[in-house]
Amino acid sequence: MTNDLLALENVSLSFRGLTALSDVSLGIAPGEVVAVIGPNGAGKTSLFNVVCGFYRPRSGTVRWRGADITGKAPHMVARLGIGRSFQNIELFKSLTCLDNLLLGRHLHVKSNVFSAMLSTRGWVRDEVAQRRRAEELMDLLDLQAYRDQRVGALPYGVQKLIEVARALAAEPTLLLLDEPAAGMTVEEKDDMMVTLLRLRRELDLTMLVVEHDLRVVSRLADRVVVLDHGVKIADGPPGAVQDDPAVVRAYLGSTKLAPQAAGPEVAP
Amino acid sequence: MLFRERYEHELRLVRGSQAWVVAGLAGALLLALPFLVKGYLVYNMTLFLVYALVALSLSVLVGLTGQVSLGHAGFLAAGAYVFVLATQHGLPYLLAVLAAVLVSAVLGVVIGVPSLRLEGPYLAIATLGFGLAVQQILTNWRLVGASRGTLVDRPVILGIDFYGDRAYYYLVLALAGFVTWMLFNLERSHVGRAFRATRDADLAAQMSGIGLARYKTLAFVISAAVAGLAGALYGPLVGYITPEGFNLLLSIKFLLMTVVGGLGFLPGALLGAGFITGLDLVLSTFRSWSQLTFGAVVIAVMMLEPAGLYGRWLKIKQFWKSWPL
Ligand SMILES: Nc1ncnc2c1ncn2[C@@H]1O[C@H](COP(=O)(O)OP(=O)(O)OP(=O)(O)O)[C@@H](O)[C@H]1O
Ligand SMILES: [Mg+2]
Repeated sequence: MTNDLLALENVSLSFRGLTALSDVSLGIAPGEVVAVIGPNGAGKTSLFNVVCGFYRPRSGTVRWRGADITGKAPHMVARLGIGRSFQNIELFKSLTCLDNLLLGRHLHVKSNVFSAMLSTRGWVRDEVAQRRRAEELMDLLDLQAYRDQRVGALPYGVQKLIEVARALAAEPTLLLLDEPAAGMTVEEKDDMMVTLLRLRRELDLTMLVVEHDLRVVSRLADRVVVLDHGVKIADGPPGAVQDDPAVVRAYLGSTKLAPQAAGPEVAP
Repeated sequence: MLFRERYEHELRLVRGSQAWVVAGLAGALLLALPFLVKGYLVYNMTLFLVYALVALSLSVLVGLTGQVSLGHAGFLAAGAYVFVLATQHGLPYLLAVLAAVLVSAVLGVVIGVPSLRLEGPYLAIATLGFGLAVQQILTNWRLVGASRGTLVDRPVILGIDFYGDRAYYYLVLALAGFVTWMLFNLERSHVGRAFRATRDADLAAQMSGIGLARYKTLAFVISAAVAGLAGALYGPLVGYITPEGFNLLLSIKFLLMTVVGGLGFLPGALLGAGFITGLDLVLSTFRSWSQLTFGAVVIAVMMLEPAGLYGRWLKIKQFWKSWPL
């Protein structure tokens, strides 16, 4: 537990009496891929928001490499090496795909405002370096076709992929993906999963992924964490969790735990 | 190394033969026109340059970060009056200009930080209050002439007298040109991108490592500083400033320039400033109907092209690109 990259210790969160997370503890070791599943409103997105500093937990601690980062501002959390994609697309809609990825690399820019305004050599060198990395990422994810297009006008599936690409552009140590395949068609979903599996292999990522499709989860994740009404009810290898009576019960209450579990959905 | 060249090419402010033609023509026109037109038109061209700076400063704030200001005449006034005070205290010209820029920048922080909590119409009202407050303070301030206003001299720098309209025009052109170049650099840089990011999706901006408070304040500071510079150039141009001159109507006119020109693009601010200043000039000849005509023309432009003049230009460019040759 001590060499966990990220650790949540007894985290509780509530919104005016409504308990979103209740005494949740969770650790992720370097290189591990952990899936978070649970019915609608179980608290999966809230868990991400606590880690990223968007929500401050009522009690409990979030640790990054052992240090307490509870309540740290989101942009500082990002600078620690935590990247995130959002469940509901949060792209910079009026900007191009390239600009979105360059913004993903923002925390690697070392130049200041003055060198940018005066377009110094240092700034140009910096900018060119960022562009090269963004370009490489577009090659890797087959996004070159959309390079100079405004992302707001692109198909939903492509936007979801750019959302992941932008998070990757920051070269995070830990990547949080909130339902990267939600709302996609079956083919788009398969493509996304193949991509994630490939990324995992090629980039040696540590990931925390919210995903409902157990078929996908069992291939992608080393471990599955199940949340229900803000409570962690199971934590273990995909095979074991699937047969856990508590998990089956939680899902029977909402959606059937079948090979495709709770499918695409509309969520907050 | 082939790629490196491509990236550096993409960073250029002016790209492609068409853009060079437009930029070249505009540059030649700005340089040569004072010798081709009558004196009072040179005055109006200088006024255009000053207004263009304010429109650009607003374009950075409103267009890039989405923060609306109805108080930019306040920053203009601050720049103009600080410049007067500084020259009265014997500061050399360039230092007096610098003082105007710095004080306005500080005012930008003072307004920008509390404005972080405000959005949309609330921010607009707060900045409107700022503009009115500046006017009120100046009206009661004896040292700078109170409501009677104060005289502003044109400078003599290193023995060169900029008293003449033409000479002063070139001085303003040099300073405004330099700052315009800086702002265009800013727009296409990582800072300009971050400004747009805070406007489009603030959650994602934060997860990209962008501190919202920092960048929104930075936009306010840069905007205020540039408007302050415009003020320092404005005073000597008109020769006599009064608090009444920096009224709400002027603030609205600046906002109008950026919107008519095309919100979100800096070149739009230049077009908008040119259009509104030109319209003012033309309409000043038939005084009694000028307000009405002004309003009608602006409404017509916005109805014909909601994306503004620059938006229209982009569409025309696209049309010629796809034209089968
Ligand atoms: N900002 C908020 N204000 C009030 N309640 C909230 C807020 N965010 C989340 N909640 C509530 O907290 C609970 C957990 O929500 P959360 O979004 O974390 O669920 P989830 O597991 O991500 O669900 P889904 O699968 O639908 O995305 C829900 O009941 C939700 O309504
Ligand atoms: Mg969710």
